[in-house]
Amino acid sequence: MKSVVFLIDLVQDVSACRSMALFVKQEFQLPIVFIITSQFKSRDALGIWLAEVRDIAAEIEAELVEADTISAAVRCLVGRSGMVVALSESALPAHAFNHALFLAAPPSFTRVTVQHGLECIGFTHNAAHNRNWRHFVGMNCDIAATWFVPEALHSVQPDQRAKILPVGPQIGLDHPPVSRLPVAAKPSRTTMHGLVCENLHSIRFGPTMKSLFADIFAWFAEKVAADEGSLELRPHPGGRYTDKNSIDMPKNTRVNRMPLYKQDLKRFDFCVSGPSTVVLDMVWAGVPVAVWTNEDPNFDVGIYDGLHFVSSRADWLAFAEAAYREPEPFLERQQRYLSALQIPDDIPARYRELVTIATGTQPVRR
Amino acid sequence: MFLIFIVPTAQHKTSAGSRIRYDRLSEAGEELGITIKVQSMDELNVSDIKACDVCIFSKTYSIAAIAMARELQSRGKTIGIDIFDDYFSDDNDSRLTRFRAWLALAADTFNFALCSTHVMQKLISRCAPQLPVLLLPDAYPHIDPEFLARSVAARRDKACASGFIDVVWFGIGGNPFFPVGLKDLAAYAWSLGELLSSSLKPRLLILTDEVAQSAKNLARLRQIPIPYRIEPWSLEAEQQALDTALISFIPVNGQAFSRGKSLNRALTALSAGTQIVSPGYPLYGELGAAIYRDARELVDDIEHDRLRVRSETAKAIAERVDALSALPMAVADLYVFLVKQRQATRRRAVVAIQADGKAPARRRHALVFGSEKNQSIPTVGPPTWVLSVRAPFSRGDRTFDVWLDDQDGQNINVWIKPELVHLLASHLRNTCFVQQKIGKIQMLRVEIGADTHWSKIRNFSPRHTPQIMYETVMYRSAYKHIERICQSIFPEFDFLCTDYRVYLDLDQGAPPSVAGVQ
Repeated sequence: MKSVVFLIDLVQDVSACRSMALFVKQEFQLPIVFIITSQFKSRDALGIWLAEVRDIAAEIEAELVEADTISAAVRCLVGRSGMVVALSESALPAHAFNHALFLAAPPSFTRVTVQHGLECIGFTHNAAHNRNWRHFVGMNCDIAATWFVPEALHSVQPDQRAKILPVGPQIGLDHPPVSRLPVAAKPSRTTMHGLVCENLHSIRFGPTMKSLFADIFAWFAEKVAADEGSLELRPHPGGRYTDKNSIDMPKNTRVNRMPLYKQDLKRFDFCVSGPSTVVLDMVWAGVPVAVWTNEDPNFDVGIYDGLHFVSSRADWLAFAEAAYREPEPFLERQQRYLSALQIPDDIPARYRELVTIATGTQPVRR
Repeated sequence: MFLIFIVPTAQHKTSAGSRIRYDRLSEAGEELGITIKVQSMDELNVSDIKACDVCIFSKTYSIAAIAMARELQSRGKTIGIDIFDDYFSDDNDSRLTRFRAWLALAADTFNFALCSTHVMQKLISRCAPQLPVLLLPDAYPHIDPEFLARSVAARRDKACASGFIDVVWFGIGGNPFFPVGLKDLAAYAWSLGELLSSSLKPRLLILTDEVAQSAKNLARLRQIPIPYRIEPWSLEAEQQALDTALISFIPVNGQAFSRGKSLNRALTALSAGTQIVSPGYPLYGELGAAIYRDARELVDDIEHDRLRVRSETAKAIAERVDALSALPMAVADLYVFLVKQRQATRRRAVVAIQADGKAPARRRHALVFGSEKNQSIPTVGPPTWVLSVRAPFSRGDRTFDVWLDDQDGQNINVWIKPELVHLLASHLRNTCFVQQKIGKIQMLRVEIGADTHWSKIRNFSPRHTPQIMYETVMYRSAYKHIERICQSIFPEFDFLCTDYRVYLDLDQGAPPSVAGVQ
């Protein structure tokens, strides 16, 4: 029997592979294995994500294997066959383990790299990626499963093009995009409640932007509190910049570290985020979202074009109040943005096709 | 006669080479009254050395080992080297310069050499013609024909019953210089593919070390055309695999390093009762028809029940192996050879006495640490047998017997361990008054006067970064200067530098212009 093996090396890999693992189990009933690397365990300093993996594994009766070395991971694969999935695999140092494991994986496995973000190494770089890692970053996979159609992937190396199979973002396996908040959600609240997402660890941010964020956030939180509103601050699960740099929490603010898939995002009237994939999660969930940027032309936010941008603290507040009062214009804009991204239609069908191609197994009929 | 084989580290004592060669030799030597002990360089103790007659260095490719050997020689021991890997013959391989430099020094130091194959014997005669060489074949295991016949038949029956042909590949997976191990396995994987023509299903077990299982090597294994498993190598795992597998797969490539190998691996596999498939260089030609060069023939033979190693052939194979090994004969040869070497050692001592009417003062030996990181240099022998001297350009944080450092870019300070005062030149013994903590220990400063001035070496300062120019051109003159200083302080000592680059022959081509280097 074929197996589907997920590599979990970065903490972000957990939420990125969750929907796919549940989907594979439900549609194909194939045995699932999670290989957890020792780097993952050290990166997951709070243990939140290891607990998540254990929960997911228990839910779908998956096998959990811990591997400290490439050879240990290969020993886990040898003797089995099927597909091995990495959510972060490229020639970058941060992806070294998955990259090397794909090189070494036994030939009985189809190696699948799935795109993990809007701006994803090997698929869609931003200008900072290009400056740091050059334009062309290769992968060791057999199939590169992408979020967008090939024409919209501006960073795929010519020799990697033949690997592309567009499947759409994993969140599309959970539910189709929400076009507007249910009407009932609105009147139940009399004060605004917003989410601020931070990904200051990203190579895009210099020291100026980092200190600017702290200033803007403190001021913004105070203003929101003045109207009896409240905020949640969500550090990027992998970067955890505000966690590590102990930024003071204003009174009406609490930290949000829960996996997004365990949260009801409808409770947020708005979200302000740095340029990050969480923006797509908000768009998908029908939450008005603004992308925090600055005036610097080198600060590349091209992939967010069409969304609402904020830079000064006044922008933040104006956006929050507008989105709270009247979310419709923002949501309409987000719908247009979503269709311009060129995400393929019928995402579950695409993933079904991917698993069938990679494992030679048909979905279980019900 | 008491022999000590000296290996670099305690880990080497359990390596396949040491185990097979010395342990078996040790058993066979007892009858002739030869006692054999294997000891690592850092564990050599005074009582062992006092009791032994002959010291044979094995796999010790460091100049520290040469200093130790010279010290042992000056204490009346006969010293030899055992060479069984070809790191020397390819003059064009710059990665192996240090091995060639080492062999050149070793040839002038040791009294004799041992080797295990004809190829290596020829090589030593060419690279170190002054060394007497004895070909001491590896002591091969005795093969019991009845056991062999029974074991082989059982394995064939099991294969036919289970439907699987079990193949094993075992051993160290890599070498820092040569493509061997897993690379050979991958390169000759096509041969395993030929087993697929059988009605039985072949499957491979790979037993190898963790270090060799790099992503690159594992990626090479992807091309193996039959199902495989990889398990960590251990002696027990190897024995267990050889006790059950039908076939040992032992491909050999044609490079000089591989051609110089002994029959060890094949005989280990054969004596355990496996068939052997060995494509590539015919290293095991001496074993004749017992070895399969072509896996397709083996497939045929399984079906017709006429495997090359079987009850009818077991006796002939056992006799052939006994003849090749000739262990009693080999041990006797070794005994005679060593007796001759002992006599030569005594004769040299007598000649030295006759030359000036009395026995010459015994020279002692010291090791000057060069500019390479000194943690990588092995510890040798009991404390202060070979003095360790830190040169001003040495890097790393080791403890030394003698410490030379740069005072002001101009002069050198000399510090010694307090217990070494009696070894100083007589005029220096009353100059040591300053005690100070140098590095990790208390040391005494030796006032040696002004003749240490660096200016004697033009354009050299130990404060330079160790760039290639200064290492090749200035390094040797700087070392000579250090050696002169050391000799004036410790007149009874000879000095060797740990860095082979000091001993490279740079005279080929025009001599470097010292004045031209800035």
